[in-house]
Amino acid sequence: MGITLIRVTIMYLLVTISIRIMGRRQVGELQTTELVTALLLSEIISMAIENNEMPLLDSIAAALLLVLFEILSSVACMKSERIKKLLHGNPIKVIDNGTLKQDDMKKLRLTLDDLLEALREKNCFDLNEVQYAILETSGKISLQLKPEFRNPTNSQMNSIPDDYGIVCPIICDGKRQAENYPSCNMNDKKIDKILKQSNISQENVLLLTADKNGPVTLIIKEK
Amino acid sequence: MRKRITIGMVILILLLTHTIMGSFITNRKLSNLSIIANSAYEAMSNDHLPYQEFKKLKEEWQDSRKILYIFLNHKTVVELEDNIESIEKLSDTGKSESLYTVLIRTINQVNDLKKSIGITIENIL
Repeated sequence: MGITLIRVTIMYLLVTISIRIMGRRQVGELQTTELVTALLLSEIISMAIENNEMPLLDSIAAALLLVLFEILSSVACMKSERIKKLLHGNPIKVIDNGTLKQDDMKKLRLTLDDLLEALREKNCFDLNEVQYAILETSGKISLQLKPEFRNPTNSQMNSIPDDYGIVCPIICDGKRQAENYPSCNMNDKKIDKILKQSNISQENVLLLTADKNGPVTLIIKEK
Repeated sequence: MRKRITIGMVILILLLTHTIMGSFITNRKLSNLSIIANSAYEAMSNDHLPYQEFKKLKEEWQDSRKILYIFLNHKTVVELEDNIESIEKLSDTGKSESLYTVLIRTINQVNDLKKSIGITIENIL
């Protein structure tokens, strides 16, 4: 009982430190502590399922302890910037004002291939276009292009389009999605009218979407 | 935030209760078994067959087994159960030498179990 809890505590600290040492490239989308909890939780659950000789209460206590650690770490991160930095690290610039920070890349064990791949994933195929690239604590790269390569915004072009709100599904697989009606000013009467105009029955609709301006997409089921 | 802290506190209380109560109850049950088994051992050392103690041991086991299965590794509890049942069978047949061996094994097992649940560096590592 007590031993299991102490062992879980030791393993939690060990895996947390290991993942912090491994670096953010291993982390993916999760924060370090979240990844550790997910890894250990799955292991504890699989042990509890496979090993019938181990008391289930021990596994439940161990799983609860992990949840407690997760709560504690998230509360501690909210309360203290230092703990947050210690557990999750800092965002680090790998391209600063157009200059590749080779020392920081070495420290992060981030190869040029990794960086170029991350940039390509952001639709940036030329390193010269990048003004800032920041490796976030989640392991993802955020980037800002140099002003000359940024897309002009609508306000810069003095061409602001009308705002029709969000496009919502109104009929999915022949079923009406009434909870979306308020977002696009729809009601059953309007939908009946759209279906009548299109000369189609509701059952034959695969997808009908609409915004505040009216219907946007209508896809009919294949027979 | 407050909700998360409350959940955390509840989990902490549950864990502490589980750990302290579990250790206390298991320790007490094992101590009871150990006391009875040791008194049977002393009687046997004085060339008596302590039927009364064996009966008590069996009764104490029946009383403790469910709790022990909840808190301890089932394999070790099964081994202990096998030995205690053997004591009962051997006491019926009167085979004192075998009985003596099984009784010593049972005492050792109970003592080992007591040691194994203690929060010590050896057990943790």
